[in-house]
Formats: sequence, C-alpha cells, structure tokens
Amino acid sequence: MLSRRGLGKRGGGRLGSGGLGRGGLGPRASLPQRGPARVLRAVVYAALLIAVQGLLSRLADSAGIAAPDLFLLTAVALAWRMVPAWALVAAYGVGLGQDLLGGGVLGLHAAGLAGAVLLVLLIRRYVADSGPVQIVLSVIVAVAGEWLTFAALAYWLRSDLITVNLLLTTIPTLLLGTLLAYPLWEWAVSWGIGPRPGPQEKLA
Amino acid sequence: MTGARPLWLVFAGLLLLSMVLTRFQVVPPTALRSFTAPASQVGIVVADNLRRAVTTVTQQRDLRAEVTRLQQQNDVLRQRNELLTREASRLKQLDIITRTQAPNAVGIAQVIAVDPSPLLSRLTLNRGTRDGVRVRMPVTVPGGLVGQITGVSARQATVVSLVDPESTVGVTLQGGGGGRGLAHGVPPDRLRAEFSRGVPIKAGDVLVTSSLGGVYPVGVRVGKVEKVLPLGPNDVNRSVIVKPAVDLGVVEDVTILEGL
Repeated sequence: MLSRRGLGKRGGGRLGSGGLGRGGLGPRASLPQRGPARVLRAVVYAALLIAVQGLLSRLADSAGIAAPDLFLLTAVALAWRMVPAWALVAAYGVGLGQDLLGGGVLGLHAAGLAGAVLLVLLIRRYVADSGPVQIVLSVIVAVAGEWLTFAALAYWLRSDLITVNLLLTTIPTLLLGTLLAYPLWEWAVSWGIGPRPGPQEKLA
Repeated sequence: MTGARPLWLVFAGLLLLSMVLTRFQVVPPTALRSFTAPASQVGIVVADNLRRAVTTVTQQRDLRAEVTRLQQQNDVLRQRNELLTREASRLKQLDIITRTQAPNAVGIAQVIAVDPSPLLSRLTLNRGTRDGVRVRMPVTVPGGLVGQITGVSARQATVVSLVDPESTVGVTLQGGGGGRGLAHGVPPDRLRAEFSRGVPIKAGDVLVTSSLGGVYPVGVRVGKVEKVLPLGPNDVNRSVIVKPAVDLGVVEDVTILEGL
C-alpha cells in the first residue's frame, strides 16, 4: 500500500512536510513492513473491508438503519497514519473504490472521504489527546466533513440527493454505528495498514 | 494557517475533479466490479445466512409458543366438538324416534349407572320428576326398545330393561304377521317370548311391541328370534329365544316416551 516514506519521495517534500501535517510522521512512523507481505496484508485488508462492509450493509438494510461506514473509518485511519496531503489523496482513492463498489457515479464518495479526512487532519493537528475524546471527535468531524462535501456536490449538481429526512434518519444511526465500529475496526486497520504512530514518533 | 494552504489546494483539486466526474456522470466500467464481486458476495452471503439464522431462531421461539397456544385451543375445541357431537347425536336420535316410534317424546336422558348384578338389568337415568318423568314411561333408542321406567326420584329414574327377569313386554311379528306374545327377560342378555302354537314363528323373525299391556307404543323393535324352542307334548305355547335389538351394555343416551 502507500508507504509514507515512499510517497514522500515520489510526491515531493512540500506536500509531505507542510500544511496540517506539521506534526507529521517521522521515519519511524512508516508502515512496519515492506515487500510482498505488506502488500498481501493490504490486499487482504481491502478484501476484508469490502466483505465486512457488504455484510454490515446487508444486515443494516434488513433492519432499516444505516450501516457503519468502514470506508470512512479507513480514510480516518489513513489520516492518522500518512502525510496529510497524501492522506487526502489516499482517502480520495478509497472513496473511488467505494464508488466503484456501489456502481454509481465516480467521485461522489471520493470527494466525501476527502472532505472527511480534511477535517480529521484538523483534529490531528489541534487535539493532542489520543484517547476516547480524540476517537469520538475524529468520527464526528469525519461524518460531518463527508456529509458537508456530499451537500456541496449535491448543490453543485442541483440534485435532491440530500434531504432533511435523509439527514434526520440516516446520519444519527450512521454516526452511532460508525462510532461503535471504530474500536473494533481499528484492530483490522492496525493489522492491514499498520499501527498508528505514537506521540514520540510524531515528534521525531 | 498559512501552512495549510497546500492541503486546501489538494482538497480543492480533488473536489474539482469530483465535480467534473459527477457532472459528466462518469460511471466505472462494470468489468471493474467483477474484481470486487467475490468479496462483496462473501459479505452478502454471510449477512443473509446470519439474518436467516436469527429469523429462524426467533420464528422457532414464536412458533413454539404458537403451537402451545394452538394445542390448548385445539383441546378446548375438541372438547366442545365432543359435546356438540353428542348433542347432535341426541337430537338426531330424538328426531328418529319421534318420526318412527312415537311423536310424544319427553326428552333424552343419559345412562348414569347400571345395576351391577348379573341377574338384573336395570339402568339409572339422569332425568327425574323435575323433568316430567313418570313411572311406566317407555324408554327407547333408535335401534329399538330399552325398557320402562319403574322408579323415579326428583333427578333420577330407574329403568327395567327388556332382559331383566321382571320385565314383560307384549310383542308381535313385524309386518303384521299375526299373533301376540309375551316376552320376559332372561338374564343376562336374552328374552324368552311365548306365542300360541298356531303362530308361524321361525328363527330370524323380527319382533316388535304390540298393544298388549298398554305400556309401550306399537311397532317399536324389540329383537330378533334367535332360536325356536322345541314343543313339548304338553306345551300350549311356542317359546322362542329373542336377541334384543338394542345392546344394553353400550347404550349411553336413551329417549323417554310419554306413556300410553
């Protein structure tokens, strides 16, 4: 998958070291492994993401509620692990994958996840706590960023995609489900993408 | 926030890209989805199986409760059906008797006790003087004559059946074959009828009540001649053994008729 060091080299230093990534990841914060095993884990993670998201969506549909957004959690995880600008790009890529899975128009979820990651990067910069408060804030601002971007795109398209009823019925259950799924899914993320860097690594 | 400008620029670029993609409705080729289809399929299949399992478990619990409730309801309905069947049977019996034996039926009674003695054949009914039952009233079933009331209390009545040794009933051949006779009870389950020697009676003939004695309505079936006893040199009557038309051992409901 995306290696912070590798992306830094290929993507240019300005994006990697500037902006909200002032407290960016040091060399030690790069993904723990490289090579085929690392790629294999990422592929398995992607397959797991698709399968579990499909499972949750199917179950949630039958219950009439919104499923937890594991793609959003993946984007949040990337925001906490990668250089900020590349986290944006990676989240956009994850969103494109979500668009591809959904079979809809390309770019909608991609922009949504990019918007989510943009706000999560603010949390990453200004909230030092790495406990529950940060988790809750990350998920809340991620959902907010995603849906604000959806709203902006809906306005751009002059579409009635976002309605008040949808906001009132979908977002609460989506937020709650995603919040509940976050601690569990973080294990899968840590295994597939790599562990989240600690404070010392950020300072390095 | 001057350092954030590149990040905003990246986001703006990505947003612009999405705006273009969504404006022009760029749809990914379906072939691309075939790569992810197996993984999606796994999730959906697992979800469906989970949902079915949960549904099955909950439905099983509900069905068990439903089965228990229906079983109880079934028991109640069976009991009610039994009562209604019996009631219908009694009414049918009453209808048959009023059409074929006598139109003046008092009502239907149930046999609530039988005499335990092997030498007697008496029944106790659950109707008494309160129900209009009196002594000497005939008791019948659609199959034939049972006996007559010989004792009555307020709620019960005693019936001396045809095969009781104290029972005597006037009989004649069915179809107006001629000849009157008297049938006495012969314990445990037969009658002995006496006819004059000139009556051409033979085994298999059916005997019905006659007006002799003035107790029973005429024409109620009594029984069938089972055996004609040989005549002795000094006999003035011909004796026959009669098998009652009614099996008194299994009678449950009987009809009480008004006496003549």
